[in-house]
Amino acid sequence: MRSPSKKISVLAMLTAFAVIMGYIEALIPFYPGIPGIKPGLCNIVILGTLYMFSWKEAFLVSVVRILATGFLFGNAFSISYSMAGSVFAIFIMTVLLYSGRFGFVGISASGGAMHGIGQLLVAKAVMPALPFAGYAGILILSGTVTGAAVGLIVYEIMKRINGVGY
Amino acid sequence: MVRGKAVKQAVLFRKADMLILMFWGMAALILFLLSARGIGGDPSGACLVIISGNETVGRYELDKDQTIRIGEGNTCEIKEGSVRMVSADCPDKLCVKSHGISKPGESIVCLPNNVILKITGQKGDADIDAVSE
Repeated sequence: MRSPSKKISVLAMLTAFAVIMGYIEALIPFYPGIPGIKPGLCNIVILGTLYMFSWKEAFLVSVVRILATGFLFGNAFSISYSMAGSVFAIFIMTVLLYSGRFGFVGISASGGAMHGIGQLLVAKAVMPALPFAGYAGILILSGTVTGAAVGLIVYEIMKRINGVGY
Repeated sequence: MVRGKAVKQAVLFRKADMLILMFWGMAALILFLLSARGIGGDPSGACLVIISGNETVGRYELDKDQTIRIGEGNTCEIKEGSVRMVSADCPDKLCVKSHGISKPGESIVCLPNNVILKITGQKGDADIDAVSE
């Protein structure tokens, strides 16, 4: 990215896109019976940002998105859950992506699984009596499945915009 | 760093992805087996334990139908040996939408209000259960 103003506007657009994804996710009547399970559509944008820029930009977009959606639809609790989840997810996705050995499916699935673990650790810190193993298993499984689907979507998008300037 | 690779190719799936998917699958399976060990057992001695703000606020037998208010926001109900959250002032209402619980080891959690409904096998072993989790 040569021009800083272009970079700023692209990142702002990506952030807006991530917020909208969070809103779409809230609109989908998707209730599996367990708190914490969701499609993770925002990760389309975060993984895309990670791929096109670096972990710094991905982290930035993620933090702004979480604060925006948190203040719009959530509360302090939901912000801290999302924050922990996204730090874990971005960390593992950065490591796997930079290693150059993994495709989008594996990277995104790992991000989904780690997002669940991060959230659950915060929940466990707040509520020590929370049954841990069962929740961890469910969140890892659902995060892996939805993450793999998100990875496929990111791949299809990136394949098409490769060489568009990023 | 990543930006330097101007003509990098997007990759969907590699052999390593299969390994990492298997890793997460195994991790989930092990955790399921761990948690399944705690669920089940003799339902006759089952007892409802209510934990609010990390303190046990009450223990109730399942054989008597009743409605219990928990703190400010939550109300749960024991009906025909099964426990449900009937109302909550939290934004997502996930606990209210949860299925009823009746077997030892099962639980309903209201994350925003920090309330846990838990079924334990024996009257009084809730604390042991909470630690061994």
